[in-house]
Amino acid sequence: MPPRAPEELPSEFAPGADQRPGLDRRELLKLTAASAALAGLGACMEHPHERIMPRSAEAPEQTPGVPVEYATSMVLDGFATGHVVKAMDGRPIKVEGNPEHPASLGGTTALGQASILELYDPDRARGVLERGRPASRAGLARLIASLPAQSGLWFLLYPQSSPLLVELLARVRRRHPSAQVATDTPLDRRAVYRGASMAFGRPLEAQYRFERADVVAALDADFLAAMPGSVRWSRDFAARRRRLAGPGGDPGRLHVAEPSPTPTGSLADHRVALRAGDIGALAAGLLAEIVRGGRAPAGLPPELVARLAGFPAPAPAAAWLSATARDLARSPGRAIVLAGDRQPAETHALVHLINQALGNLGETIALTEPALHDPLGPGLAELVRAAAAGEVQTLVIAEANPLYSAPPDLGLERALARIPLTIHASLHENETSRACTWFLPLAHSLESWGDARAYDGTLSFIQPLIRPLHGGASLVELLAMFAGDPDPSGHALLRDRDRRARGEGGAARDVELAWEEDVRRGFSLHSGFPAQPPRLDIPALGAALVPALATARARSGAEEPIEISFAPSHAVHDGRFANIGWLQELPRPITKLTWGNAAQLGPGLAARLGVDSGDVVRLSMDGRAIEAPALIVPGHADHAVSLELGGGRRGGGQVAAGVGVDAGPLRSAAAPGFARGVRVAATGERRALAITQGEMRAHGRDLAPHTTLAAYRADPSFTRALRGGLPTLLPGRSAVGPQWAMTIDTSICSGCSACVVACQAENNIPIVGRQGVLDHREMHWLRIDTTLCGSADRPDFVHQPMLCQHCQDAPCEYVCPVNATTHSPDGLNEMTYNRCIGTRFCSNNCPYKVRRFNWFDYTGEQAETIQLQRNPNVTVRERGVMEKCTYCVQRIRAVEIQSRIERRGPRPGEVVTACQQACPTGAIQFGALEHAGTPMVEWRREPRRYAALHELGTRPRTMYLARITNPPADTADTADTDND
Amino acid sequence: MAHPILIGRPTDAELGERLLGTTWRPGGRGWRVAFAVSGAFTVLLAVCVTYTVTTGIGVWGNMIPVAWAFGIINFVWWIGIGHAGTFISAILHLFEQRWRTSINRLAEAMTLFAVIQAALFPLLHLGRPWFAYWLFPYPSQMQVWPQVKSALPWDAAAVTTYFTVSLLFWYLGLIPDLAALRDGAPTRRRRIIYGLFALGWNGRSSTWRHYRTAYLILAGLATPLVVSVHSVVSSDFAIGLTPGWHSTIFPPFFVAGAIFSGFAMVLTLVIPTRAVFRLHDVITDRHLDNCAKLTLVTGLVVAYGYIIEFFIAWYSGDLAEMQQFYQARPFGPGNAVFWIMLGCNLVVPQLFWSRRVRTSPLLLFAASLLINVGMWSERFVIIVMSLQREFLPSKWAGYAPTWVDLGILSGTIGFFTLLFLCFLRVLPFIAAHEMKELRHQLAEEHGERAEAHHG
Repeated sequence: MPPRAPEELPSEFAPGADQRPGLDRRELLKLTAASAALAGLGACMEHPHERIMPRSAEAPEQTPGVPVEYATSMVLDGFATGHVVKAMDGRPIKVEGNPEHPASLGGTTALGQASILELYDPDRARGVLERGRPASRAGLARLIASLPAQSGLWFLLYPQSSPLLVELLARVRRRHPSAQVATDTPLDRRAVYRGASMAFGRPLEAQYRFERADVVAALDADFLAAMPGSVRWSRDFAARRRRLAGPGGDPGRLHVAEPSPTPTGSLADHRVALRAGDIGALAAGLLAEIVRGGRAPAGLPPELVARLAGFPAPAPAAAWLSATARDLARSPGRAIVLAGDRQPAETHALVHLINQALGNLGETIALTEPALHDPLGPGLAELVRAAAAGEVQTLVIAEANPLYSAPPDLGLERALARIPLTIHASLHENETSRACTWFLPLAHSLESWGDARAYDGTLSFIQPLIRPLHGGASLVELLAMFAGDPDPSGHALLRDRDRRARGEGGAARDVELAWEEDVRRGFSLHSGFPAQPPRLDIPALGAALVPALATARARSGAEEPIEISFAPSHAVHDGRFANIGWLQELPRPITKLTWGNAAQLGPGLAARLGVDSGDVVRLSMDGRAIEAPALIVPGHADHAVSLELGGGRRGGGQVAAGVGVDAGPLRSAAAPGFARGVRVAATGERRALAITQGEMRAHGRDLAPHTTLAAYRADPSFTRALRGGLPTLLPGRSAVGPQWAMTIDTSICSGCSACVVACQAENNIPIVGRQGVLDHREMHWLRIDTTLCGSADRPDFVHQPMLCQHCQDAPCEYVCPVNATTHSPDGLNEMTYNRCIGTRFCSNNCPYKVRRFNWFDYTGEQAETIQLQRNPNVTVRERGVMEKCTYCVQRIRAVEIQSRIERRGPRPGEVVTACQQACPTGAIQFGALEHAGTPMVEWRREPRRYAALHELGTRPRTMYLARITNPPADTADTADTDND
Repeated sequence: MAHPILIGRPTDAELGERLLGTTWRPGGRGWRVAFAVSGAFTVLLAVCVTYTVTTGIGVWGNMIPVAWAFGIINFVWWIGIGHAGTFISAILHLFEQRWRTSINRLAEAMTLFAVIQAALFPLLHLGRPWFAYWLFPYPSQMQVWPQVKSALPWDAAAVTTYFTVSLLFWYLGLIPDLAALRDGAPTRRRRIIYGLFALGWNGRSSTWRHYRTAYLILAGLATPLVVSVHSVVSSDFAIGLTPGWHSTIFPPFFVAGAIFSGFAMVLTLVIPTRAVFRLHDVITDRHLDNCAKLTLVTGLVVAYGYIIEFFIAWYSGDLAEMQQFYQARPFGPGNAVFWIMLGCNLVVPQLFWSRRVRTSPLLLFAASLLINVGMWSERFVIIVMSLQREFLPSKWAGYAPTWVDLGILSGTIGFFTLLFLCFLRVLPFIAAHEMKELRHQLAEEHGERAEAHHG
């Protein structure tokens, strides 16, 4: 049974139990016994019995102060990722990746980490509304029940993969035969499926096996951070690159072409900045080179071959293209070429053709049925058309917020006004709710039962950890109401489906056990979709591509007009997470911008326009215009501006209000991803950008060592000046117990920032708001320093997660006048908050600048619901004290206590820090120096290890591994290694 | 030929009337206006302090990386100003410099009031000022002592010692004059109050003998403090790693800077006081001349410090140090303050090579104000500009003060002025008994010379 929210606790006691009875002893005892018994039963009468199942079957469900872990799933745009959520005394407090789940393998995204805060968002909707006035859920249920069968019923949902939901839709259609479902998300993947349909005749999903790929070419595809399989792919990609265990190893090679630098681009060995609109031509160029190299797929129409011959590469990418094509051709069957979701169908089809030509299909790429239900089904455009034709009488919009996110030229608002009954169900009352007749609060996924499929098809379960804080129904419950169930229970619906799915044949007991096991695990084992044979209809595909090539060719090369491209925000996605403070304050992986978006452009265009970062520019296209602050991003494509989605929410809640710019007005239904013809003009105004990193350049300092693979092989110990012993006058320290340490491989850190949010969630770290960031007072214990190396046009990026280095000769310790920061025998630099008087001398003397100060009472002012998220094992800091990374000392001590109870020492890998646990690539490793054989210890034997600011003699316990890039031999000269 | 240190030969009675009479002559209109203005700024100080303590240090412009800013700048500046008083009254006393007589009381009072301003800041700048006593080695039941490797407990000890000794020294010197005030007080109430503070002074020769001994001992005790306090304060920076702080020249450099700014402040106070009370015969151009010369000397030591800092930055071969001194300071954020510092501290004192400037009250007054500005700028440069550009460029940031920072700085200037104005009205600001003694000494010397001439 899910524990209840604390607000309900008073009602736990039976009536009269809290009144002192004026009775004799026997009577008193009788009553006490009776009320004690009733106290347990009382809750059961209120709520139906629904059993949630912790991951470990042995764990008793509730021991005060002992956290219980439950496996569940988070669904984003239809795709499930397995999570393990930790609950403390009935409160969910922390999200981790489910190590067994194939879409997670233990990693998470920043969004996944922050979903816990979404649950506690104080701005969540709290009641049913009818035309803005409080109404009852029963009233809504009656209304739904009274809908006539032929009611012109439409649903507008995010893309869905839930088998339960599909079944419910079928039930809805039995009652309302003409009911229609449109799916929409601003990050639509229809082009991907259309491209697959062109190639394979049906919308297949490509499953990439990055761990097997020697060469990867990502065309405008941020596959490490912004695609449905990113978490899993990050782990796989890192595993392949980690073959660089020594200078002899082969890390493989990543080629990236993209308009604006992304986490994937920042890990590239060979990168070119190219406009999104030129990517199609680039793909064609790649195919042309491959065909020229004699690898033309059999059956390619001669017309296409003729057109490909001499196909010009987009000018900035000519050198990139030939080197990449050569590299791909050298690794047939061991390469992956992939294109981003916003690329048109033809580009995806071209990419399939390239992969076929290279023999990658079936080797590094498997094709499966898509996890999404009806991925090419009706969308927003069809809905608007039907509404305009008067065919829609009732529209149910669930989860989605199309009035914020839909391109304005669709005319959705007008269409909505024509629909007599509109029902919006959402976590928040937002832009769309205000335009709808009815509003129903939705339950959060941590409050509801459900299922969904992961990218690979794995059937994943969603189980609640807490009863809905503000009432509210889940999406499946809402659909069940339309299927004729007046008071549905998500639990019962899911159980029913599960029983049926497991077949009638099995014994009830076995079905029960299997269900229990799957819910505990969070997903059904081996439920991923099987690979389909890749059958390309090459002649047909070739013929279909001929006109596309013509347009690509015509477009390529023309520099003007300027392109605008839209990308999901790494923090707030498409804006649906805009009310989560952690995410708004999350420095974006490359730009380190917080609290809003900006018009990103390259240094060349900025110079031509005469704008600097922070100058407000007016972007106009086809009579529509927005104003946004400019942000110069080295490594951005020239003649292009890019804008993140998710800013400028008008109905997003207190946190989201007034943050960023809504890119919406510039998006059109025809070109939601990118378009040409934007005019950019400086307005003369300025708007301060809340950026957390001061300088991107190293200013000649050897701070983030990096080199090419060839140079590394020639001189493996190139970081020798940044490690090893230094003369010291200080006495040695006595080391007692396991010596904790951390190793971070900057070669596989993509800067995705999941660790930053994980640290915030684990350690009760407050946010400070936009002004706080502008004042340089952000509180992150862990930040990611991104150093730019090389030229501004073709920079290399080195991400360096920067946290307390736990120096063995710590500069902060000797300057603290009151012993508030001291050294522990196991090598930790400890912070005693109660002892701190706030002189801030330690921060001045910390060369890494990882100490954070409570300038105001940040924690006392937090909303009560937000306070429910706090980790009780971590002190909440008051005003005026210093704080910093503790290496998650609470986790270390918990393991130590457990190991002492069991009369043993901590086991290798038993202590996992929050950042390490969240990291999708596994770039952060933690453990004890004594535990030889663990990655943490093995890694720091590599010759490319170094200590940050080694020359200061601080002897940090955190070690980094230098970034090694592996550019193609013929372009190695472009990857200059000066870090000026 | 030096100016005389006393013009004319007033009698004891005349001197007593002029120097002690300031305490019972009513303050003029100018005094009342000055009192009102400085009182207003003192109220502003109280408001800003209350706001800071109730809301948090966040109301200041401090941040990471610039975790110390106006608070510590003001602290070092005021402590530095305090140095001239002790230097004049203790060191010059030991060296038997008679010209110190007419300005030592005033300079000592300046020291006390400056240290009071300075002492506000170590408290105020704490995140949790209510635990400031943890800096002192008090017997705690938890047996936690201050961490003595940090310079901050040294600071606490040095500043409290300095304040205590300065107060005692000043008070001891006041006792004979308080007795004179008691004896000549026009009202009974004043007689009681001055009498209480005069501690039963009876003017007997044995009393005078004990007094002289005590005064000499205290002068001896105070002398090392002139050197030690600012050396300790400089350790707050010198023991740090920060480029721009990590420097062994800081202790002598800071002491020289302190005396430099202290003499400038003495000039700032003495020149208008002399003008208002028409004390040109007691505080002569010789005094101004000597103060200016000492300012020049200490200014040259400060200049030497600057040169060495820049030289060592280059000589160290350390990139962070070099960028700190050759890029951040002259061209980085806030570089105007650096140039103001150079102008005020390097160029302005060079005017004092000219005798005409040294004896021109107006020019001296203007120069002393500029030097005070320059020395405040120097602390800004050392503290803020160093922190703005540390080891990791990823955490470089530019600092800007808030209105509270400016309010507190101007508030302490107001409070200092207020205390000084009260001092002028309530106590004899020139040591009358020492002046009388000086007159007798001069008369005797004159007589001896006259006799020798006759002989």
